[in-house]
Amino acid sequence: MAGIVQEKMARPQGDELTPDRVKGEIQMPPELQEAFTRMVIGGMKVMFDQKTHKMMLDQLRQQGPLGQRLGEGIAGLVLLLFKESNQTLPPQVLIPAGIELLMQAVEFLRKSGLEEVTNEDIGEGMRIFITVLLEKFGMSADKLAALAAQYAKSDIPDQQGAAPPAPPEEQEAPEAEETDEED
Amino acid sequence: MMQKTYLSRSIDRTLEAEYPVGDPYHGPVYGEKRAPVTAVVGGIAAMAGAETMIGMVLAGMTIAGGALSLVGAVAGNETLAKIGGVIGLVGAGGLAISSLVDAAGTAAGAADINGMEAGNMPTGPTEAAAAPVTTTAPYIAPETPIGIDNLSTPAADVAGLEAGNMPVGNETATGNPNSVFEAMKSGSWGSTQVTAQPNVDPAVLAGEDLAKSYGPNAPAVPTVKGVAPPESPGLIKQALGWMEANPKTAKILADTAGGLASALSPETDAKISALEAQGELSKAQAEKLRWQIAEEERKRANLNASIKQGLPTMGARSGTMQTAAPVLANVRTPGLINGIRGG
Repeated sequence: MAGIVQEKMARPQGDELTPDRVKGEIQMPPELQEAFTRMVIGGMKVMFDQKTHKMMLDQLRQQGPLGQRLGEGIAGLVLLLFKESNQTLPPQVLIPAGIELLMQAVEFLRKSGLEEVTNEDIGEGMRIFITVLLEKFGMSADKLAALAAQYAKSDIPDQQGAAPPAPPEEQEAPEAEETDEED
Repeated sequence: MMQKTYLSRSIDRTLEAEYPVGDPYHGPVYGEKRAPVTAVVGGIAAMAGAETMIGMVLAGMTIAGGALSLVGAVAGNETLAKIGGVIGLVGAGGLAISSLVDAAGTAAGAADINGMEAGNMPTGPTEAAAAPVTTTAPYIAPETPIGIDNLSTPAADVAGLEAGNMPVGNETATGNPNSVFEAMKSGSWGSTQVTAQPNVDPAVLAGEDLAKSYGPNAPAVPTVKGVAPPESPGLIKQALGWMEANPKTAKILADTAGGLASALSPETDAKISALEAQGELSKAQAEKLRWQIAEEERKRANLNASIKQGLPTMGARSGTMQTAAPVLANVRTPGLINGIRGG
């Protein structure tokens, strides 16, 4: 296949990754929309409220790569919101809401000029966010990534709706259904 | 020339159980190209089935698969793009996972979260005392307990939150995270927010005087979620009778009342909260702008001072020009950053 993934093909820094652009890619089902909105608003309040804004700034001022600070900070925020919601937030909205909140934090950093955020920082932040979140729920993100990598290596057409390629010549006459090749 | 052997679908399925993706020997058979997708969905569903809470979280990942894929592609993050791409492709399967785990997951998830809460982040004295901590077997393995305390970075901040700095109660003032959390709980979202409106007369919220304000021919009182409507059957009968007699006017008033009810609904509260949150963002942006303005003003003041000191003046007697070269050096010396810091 041409490749689901273009490995190590980062585009030049630009404004492609905006909150609106990323949010536009989130296909939120209508029944989860309200919970998603609630969670994003709650997270934004914690991030930007006068009394708790310092929390966010402290997190961002810590040592380490920006992507790591972003990812761990948003994962902590999402888990905090989820726990404090007293189980009323459906877990399905955790990752979409976290992505939205991460982009809001990135937007804040960009506009306030506190730190320069690159596309790589955003990507790494999201990867760490998902890794931390899944690990907190007892699942290894590496397992999912390995599964995805295994899938990506298989010969799957990019678009499932595309016309199938012409069958190979050898297929004209399948000789036997069962073989003992593995022996 | 390589000899290919094509297996039947049933044999292929059997082998897939052992080798989850694709034909283990010669690649996917023509017409079997979707089998690996099935395998991935099956693999995720198997994981999801084992842990329904995880399944629901993964279902969320299918919702955001496009976003992950976009970010991964733009940022050149291989892992993210792969996860996003694959999850995006099997989105329908993800929805199936969601539907699979939803029925069992909701009830089971409750015990799970109680397990999460045990010993990890009490929300406050009242809630901690009231919250039932069950001993149901947790979903998450004991060696990987879920909890904010286990996070590396925000633990100190969370501890600060817990340390009584943020009072728990019925406050809905912006800025109190506990009030945000309280409001997020669906049970209290509507009523808490509505009753917290400072400029709204409680009597109006209770629906006591709302009908009177419409005059004697009042339509039905709009109800507010979380607030019990007043019991006045006589008034309702009267209103219904009036509505039958005045259908057009009743429609207009009903629309108005509907708008009012909508304005007092939790959805509107959410919008207000969103605006407030955006307001905080705007405040931060305004703060940055203030710094920039201050910097610009300082820069201009320095330039003006230097210009005043070093304006080229005509020597009255000599008739020569004097330049401001020494003054420019003074402008550079303190530095803009030091100047802003007051240094």
